[in-house]
Amino acid sequence: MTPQRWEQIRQVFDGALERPAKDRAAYLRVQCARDDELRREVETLLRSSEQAGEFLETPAAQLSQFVARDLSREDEGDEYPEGYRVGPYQFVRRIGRGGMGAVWLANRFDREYRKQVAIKMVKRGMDSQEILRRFRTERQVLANLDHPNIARLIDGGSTPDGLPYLVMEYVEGTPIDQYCEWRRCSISERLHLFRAVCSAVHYAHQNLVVHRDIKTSNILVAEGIPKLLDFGIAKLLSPDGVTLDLAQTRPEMRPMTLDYASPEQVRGEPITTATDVYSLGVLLFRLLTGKMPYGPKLGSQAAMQHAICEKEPLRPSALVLADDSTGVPEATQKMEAVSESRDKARKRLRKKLAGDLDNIILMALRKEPHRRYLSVEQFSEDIGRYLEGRPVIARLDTPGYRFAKFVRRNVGGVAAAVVIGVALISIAIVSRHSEIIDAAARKHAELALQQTRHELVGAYLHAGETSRAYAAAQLAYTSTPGDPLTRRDLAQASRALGDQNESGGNHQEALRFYKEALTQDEALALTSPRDAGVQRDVMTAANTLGAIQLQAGDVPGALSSYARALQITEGLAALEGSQITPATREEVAAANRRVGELLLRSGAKDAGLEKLRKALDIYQQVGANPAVAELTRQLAQ
Amino acid sequence: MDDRALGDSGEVTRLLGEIGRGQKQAVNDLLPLVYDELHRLARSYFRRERGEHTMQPTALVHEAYIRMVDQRAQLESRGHFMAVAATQMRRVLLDYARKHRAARRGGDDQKILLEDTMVICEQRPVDMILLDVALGKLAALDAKQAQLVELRFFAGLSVEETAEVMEVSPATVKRSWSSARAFLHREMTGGSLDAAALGADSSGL
Repeated sequence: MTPQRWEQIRQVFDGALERPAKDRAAYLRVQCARDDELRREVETLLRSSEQAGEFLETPAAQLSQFVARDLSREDEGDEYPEGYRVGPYQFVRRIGRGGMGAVWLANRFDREYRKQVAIKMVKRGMDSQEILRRFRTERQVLANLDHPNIARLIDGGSTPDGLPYLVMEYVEGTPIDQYCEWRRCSISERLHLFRAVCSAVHYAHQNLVVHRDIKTSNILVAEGIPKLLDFGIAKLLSPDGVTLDLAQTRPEMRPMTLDYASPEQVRGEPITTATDVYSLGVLLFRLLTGKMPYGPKLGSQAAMQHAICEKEPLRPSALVLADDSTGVPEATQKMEAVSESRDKARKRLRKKLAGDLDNIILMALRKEPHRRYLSVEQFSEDIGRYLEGRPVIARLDTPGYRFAKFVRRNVGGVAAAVVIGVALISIAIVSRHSEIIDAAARKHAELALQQTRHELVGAYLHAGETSRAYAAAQLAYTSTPGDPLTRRDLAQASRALGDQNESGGNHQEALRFYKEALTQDEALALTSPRDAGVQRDVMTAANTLGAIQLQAGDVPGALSSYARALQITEGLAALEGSQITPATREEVAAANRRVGELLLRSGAKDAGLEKLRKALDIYQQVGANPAVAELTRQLAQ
Repeated sequence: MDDRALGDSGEVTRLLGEIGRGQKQAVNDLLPLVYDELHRLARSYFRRERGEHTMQPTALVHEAYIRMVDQRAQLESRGHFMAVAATQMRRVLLDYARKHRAARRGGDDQKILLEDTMVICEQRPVDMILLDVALGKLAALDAKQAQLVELRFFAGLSVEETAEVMEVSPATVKRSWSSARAFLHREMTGGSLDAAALGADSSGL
């Protein structure tokens, strides 16, 4: 039946109803003279109307009590009986329940083989269509995550009632923290397990998947091998990046676990690989101390959010001694020789944690994503260095750093001078002492020195003492070449000197410093090809250099700089993948346009036009109208 | 919880305003809010009225309106809200019915116990799943008529209220209601021409 046909039927039906029953047959004969089917339609409707009685007349009232009780039940998704089937999967039993719904163990029946899987049922009331749509776009990426420490996503679909479900490799294991407790793993065993987790997360990052929900219950250890569950699932279910439990607005839902959430997640800011670095930091904190970074469970959600965003995490080593109940580092006590007294064991543990391990964990837990480890790989490598007894790159936020940060945030001038003074004094002290103390202490002293130099560069820059900042950065760089932090400082100082020279009309000098900044940024980018922040620095440096070169009339130079910027920009766009923002797309367009224009100027007409058309194309897609108009005009010429 | 309700009322009122200005996306944003609220009300209702044996969806929808919408909002907002709430009430009931059907499906063709998927009306129980299928068909022929049924049956609005929400005359509502009801009844009792032609086992699914 078509809507038009229904309209026709309705009209005849309405007309019939208006007439007394006895006149209807005659009316229909006239109305449906040559259309028997129409007449039958209306006749059956009239009959139904007659039989319907009170059908639907009383609103869906009076739900019986059991309906009401059912509506009031919270654990939806639990209602599947054993043997329930979705697709080729048959439910065995429920094995878990999360904010999103229940998880079931199921068998897959094929003619040849029988395989156990875990099925995550998404609960009712969520936007099923949207989840399915996201699943379809992401499934290939997730299915391709092939790593020994990642539980694979196998399949997904929807039940006959339209509820989405995800099928995952079934892992029969123990949550990593419990595993460590039960096995009484030593610190080094724990660190090795943790590094295996890192390798999985790093692998996923290289495939542009951020986990977003790393926590102990998502890491199961089976036969000594940790496996991460639910990779990418968080994004499927909640693309805005707010952690799942946060998204649960029903107050009577289970207590929300913000335990592993990063400041950016709490604030609803963009989620990057640094988010996973943070959660891994919380995980390591827990594995080594048995506690959470902000102390005992905070009462309210708000207090927890505040702590995550504002409070400095506790030092892991401090926690070990502070605790006097039998509880806490129970695992860690036991793991030390059983014969040792608890006190002694604790002291040993504390000694192990104090220093490098403290610093490593606290570096991962920094509030600002860009101040954490640049990648999970770097995080893991630092632990590797610790295990091998080599110096680690993590440094504590020293009082000097905090002070410098304070100064940068507040006033310049005088305060900066004080910071610089303090920094210089401490450098002097450290340098002197480093000659007479033993190797281990010396290593620490050197690291402290490095950190102090870093702060010094920051303070000089803030005070507008660019030449001194540059000198300090260079000094630090020559003492630890290749160190990312000092590289960054040097790049920053070079850029600042470039700016200064440029505004002073000293273009040649400016060019030299901008080139140096680009070199350092490029080197940084090389070591962390997937760090968008670093890549962005390179892009900015290349663009600045290009602009200066262009101004100086160096078209080939400018072209090569802009071409490099374009390359990076496209790389950044690729990093964003399907999540690409209009802003990034416009950046790509602008970069294409710059290169296109310069190609035209240097006589490469075809190549130039191609870039300009590409730019136009993107501008049209994002609806950047002024740019579209301008480019269209340009292309017409 | 009261804080939340207050917090929502601004949001809901804003969304209703957007619906009024013809922004389709706002409907999608509003749907889950209303769905959640209906569930929440049903739960708290049940907790409060432990001794009672019944509850009225109509009461739920009206309570949701009072809780979720700023009462100073324009009158037309009420119409938009009712339309959304009626749709969601239908979904709440349908989810319930489907879940029970799914649960009963363990064995082969075990008959679904009808009362499990019924909404009990005073006169006669209505099978929610059959009604949903029939409503789907009606919506394909005339979306306005399907909406009319949602408003009257699921939100429990009177003819006059429905007319106000749909911005038509009460007479139109009455006429439209008759044919919709006849259509649904015919579909649900297997009396349609299609079903007759295809044989008895065509359920339309």
